[in-house]
Amino acid sequence: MPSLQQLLRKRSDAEPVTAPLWHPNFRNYERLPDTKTVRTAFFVNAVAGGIAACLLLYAGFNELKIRQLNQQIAEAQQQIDTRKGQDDQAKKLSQAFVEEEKKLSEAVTFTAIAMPPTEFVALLGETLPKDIAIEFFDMRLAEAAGPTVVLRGMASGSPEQASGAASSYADVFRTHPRFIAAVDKADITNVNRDTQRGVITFEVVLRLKTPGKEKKS
Amino acid sequence: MSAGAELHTLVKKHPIGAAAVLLSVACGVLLYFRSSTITTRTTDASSKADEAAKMQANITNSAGLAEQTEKMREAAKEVEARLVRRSQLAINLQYFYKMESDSGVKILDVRQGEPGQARNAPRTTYTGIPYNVSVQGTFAQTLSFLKRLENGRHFCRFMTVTYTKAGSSDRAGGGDLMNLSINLELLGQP
Repeated sequence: MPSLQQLLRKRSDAEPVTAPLWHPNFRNYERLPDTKTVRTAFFVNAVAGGIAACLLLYAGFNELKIRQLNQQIAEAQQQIDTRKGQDDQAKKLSQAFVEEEKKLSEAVTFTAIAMPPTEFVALLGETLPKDIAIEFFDMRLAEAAGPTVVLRGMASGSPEQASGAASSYADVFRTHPRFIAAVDKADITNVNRDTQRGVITFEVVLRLKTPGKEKKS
Repeated sequence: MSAGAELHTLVKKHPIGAAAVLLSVACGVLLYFRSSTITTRTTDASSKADEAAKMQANITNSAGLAEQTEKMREAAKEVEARLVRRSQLAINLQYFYKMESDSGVKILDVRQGEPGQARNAPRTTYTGIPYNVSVQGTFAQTLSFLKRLENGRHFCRFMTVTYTKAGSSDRAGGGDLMNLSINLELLGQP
């Protein structure tokens, strides 16, 4: 709070009136040195230098990688040149082997058969029931529908027994292990009474399995 | 002040920065022109390495191949020695007559046919020479004839085998006579 003396003092006794201070500014800023703590040139140089260093490193890394790849290519080419002779020889041998093997395969395929005719005929004889005789045997191994065997036979005895024997004859092909391996399907297709001879005639059609072809399940 | 003079001043003022920019531009140009080189070289190196590895595998796997090929050649020669030559008709028919005398059957007819080739069939080295053979004999004789065909010198493929009853045998110890009609192919060269 001002004192009484201070309040009574004349205004003219206060501070003298002065004109505002000024002076001409002749400074040439362009020629003056940069007085910032960190100079702008440092930032410019640092940024430009940093970018240049990064690019230089990247380019250098690339060149190094290209050089390594060139070395790898040269090494691989050298290996190829070294192995070429042996490789050509191996290829020739392999080709010759394939050609010879093809000839053998053709011979093996040519003779491939589910069951040879002699084995089939012999097995028929072994499994033939006493009251049945086979009169006709036709084995067709080159049919488009698959190899087929047609048997025509006759069953002797009373008509009732003979017809039963004829009907059950197909079961032989479904139960004998060797026939099971070779025969796909066995059907009695025809059963007739021959009154003149007093027998029952029948026909069995067998579908054989094709060698190398498995039945689709 | 011209642009050139300004640039000159700038370079003079920031020589390090200017050098760095110049270096950056040079690196950029280098990277631009070498950008595809790494990809190309990588592909080249990979394919060459694969080729070299494949060659090595071929060489490794071919160990003993020479002996195996030689064995295959010998086996193929044995196969070829058992082939029928279509043009040698008399020799071919003699094969069946020899079997006739060995098995005791009577050949009623034997004919050599023309080999047929299916239109879309794969090309093969050998071909089947077809024959139609009709023989008569007892069951044992015809079975013996069939066995000789199956296991004979030539490779045999049966197309049809048909047995029919012919009558009673007048031969000593013979049973009922059978007619055996066979369509077969012998593996041969055209």
